Amino acid sequence: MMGTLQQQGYALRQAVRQLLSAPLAHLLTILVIGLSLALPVVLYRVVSDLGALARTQAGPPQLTVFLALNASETVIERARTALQARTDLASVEYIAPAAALAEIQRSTHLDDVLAGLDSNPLPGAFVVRPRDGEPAALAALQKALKLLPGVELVQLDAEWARRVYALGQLTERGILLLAGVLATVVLTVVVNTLRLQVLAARAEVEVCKLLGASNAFVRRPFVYFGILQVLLGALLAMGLAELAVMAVNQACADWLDPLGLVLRLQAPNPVEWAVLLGGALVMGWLAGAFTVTLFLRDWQRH
Amino acid sequence: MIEVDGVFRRYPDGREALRGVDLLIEAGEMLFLGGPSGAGKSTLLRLIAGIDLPSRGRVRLNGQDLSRLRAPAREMLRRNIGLVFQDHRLLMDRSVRENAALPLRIQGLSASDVDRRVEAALDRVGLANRGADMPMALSGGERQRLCIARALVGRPALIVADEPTGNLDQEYGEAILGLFRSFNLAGVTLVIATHDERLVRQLGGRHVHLDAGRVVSDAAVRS
Ligand SMILES: Nc1ncnc2c1ncn2[C@@H]1O[C@H](COP(=O)(O)OP(=O)(O)OP(=O)(O)O)[C@@H](O)[C@H]1O
Ligand SMILES: [Mg+2]
Repeated sequence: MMGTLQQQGYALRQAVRQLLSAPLAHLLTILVIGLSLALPVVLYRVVSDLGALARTQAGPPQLTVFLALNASETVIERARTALQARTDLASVEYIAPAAALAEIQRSTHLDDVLAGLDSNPLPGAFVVRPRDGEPAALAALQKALKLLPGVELVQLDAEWARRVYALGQLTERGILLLAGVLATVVLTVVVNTLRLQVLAARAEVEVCKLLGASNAFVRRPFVYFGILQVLLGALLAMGLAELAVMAVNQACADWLDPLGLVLRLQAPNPVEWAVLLGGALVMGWLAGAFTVTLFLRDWQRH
Repeated sequence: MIEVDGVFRRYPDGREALRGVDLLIEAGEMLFLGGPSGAGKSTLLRLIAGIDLPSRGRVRLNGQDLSRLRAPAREMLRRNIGLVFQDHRLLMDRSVRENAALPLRIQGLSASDVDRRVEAALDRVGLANRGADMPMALSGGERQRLCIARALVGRPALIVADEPTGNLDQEYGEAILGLFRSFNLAGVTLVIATHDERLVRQLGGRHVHLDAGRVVSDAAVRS
């Protein structure tokens, strides 16, 4: 039951009144909530930005598509068109046999051996970067590319891709787990303060029930109270996260820049904030509804 | 119309507060419920208001058997009953005005309606200039009057009052009863428990006497 606008306004005023009735105690609760919410946000930032750095340092996974030896110009062009038409590739680059040979000469100093060859033994090849680094997708892509006309062999540094992917997954799971644990902490803290709040307002709850108030009417101020607390905690978490990002970036500038490593954490983006605030809303609502419903069920038994 | 039909109320500790009460209260009646302490007056009022249910027998409000209604439906009925509790049940951390406004908050009235009706109700019980005070600052009699204001504010068709003159001196007691009388003349049904026989004897209406959970006398009195 939504109740009238007046009832919602009344409940919200009651919630604010409760919050202001013991500002210091509630401030402490909000601080705990803020810290609990800020921690996973900042960690998420660190890991995702470090991951991005690792990927740019190591280069994204790539596949080498080898054409048949002495493939004709038309075969090469057909392969190029086919590759460029694919939406699952981020980039396609052709490396001619001559260029490949020059590269080998430059990097290995096998001039004598190579000079002894009377023709270039290397096939033409395309180096392609897939958009999706997930191992199964890479394997599927490898199979698909092999079926293209003129393609002889598709090589994939599967081990490397798998390792990077696994590491990414692992940290993501870790953060999810941590976020879950801390969300539970937040819920517990809010439910606990609300329980005390409801007990303190016991006489009031009873009078309201005697005067014919619905359970929804009784619940509403506490739901608002829970939402307010967690929302304020989330706002605090946003401030703390911005501060933490600034501090980490300052440290990176001081310590990593001289080493030629450029790492900057992005401040959490609006989508992440929306997720945090939305989560806070849901948690506050859940905590409020849960606590009062339990109390009422207990109370109505007598 | 209120029908109390063969009602028993046994509390969990085994005490039988009501033992077979039959009572028919017509709409527009003014009924005084008398009897010694422990006779079962408060228990009967709670059953009539649907706060409590009989262990045996039926209480019907406008034909509706309260025992057959679910809690939310009984709450809905209660919102249209003016209730005065023997133990006041005021919110001590809320102003006089907010206490009187509570039934209207529950009904979800607009702020301007709430203000207007609360001022009128406080005015009727002589607390017009005490709206901003806390109940703590009120005397026992003033608190009693605040309870009555809270019962009036929703303009109920039925008022169920438990010892509404308990803490009032003769003068205010008479004033409050006069107020109830005027409501009754306007068509409101009143059920009032009191052991202050001296105060109500001078008033007309129906006087029901309860003793040890039974009705021992039921008489119409002319004023
Ligand atoms: N919640 C309860 N649990 C157990 N016994 C109760 C309860 N409420 C009332 N009683 C008992 O029921 C009997 C009737 O009580 P009730 O309060 O209805 O009397 P009353 O007529 O209103 O008395 P008073 O004039 O003192 O207010 C008493 O013996 C009382 O002890
Ligand atoms: Mg009583």
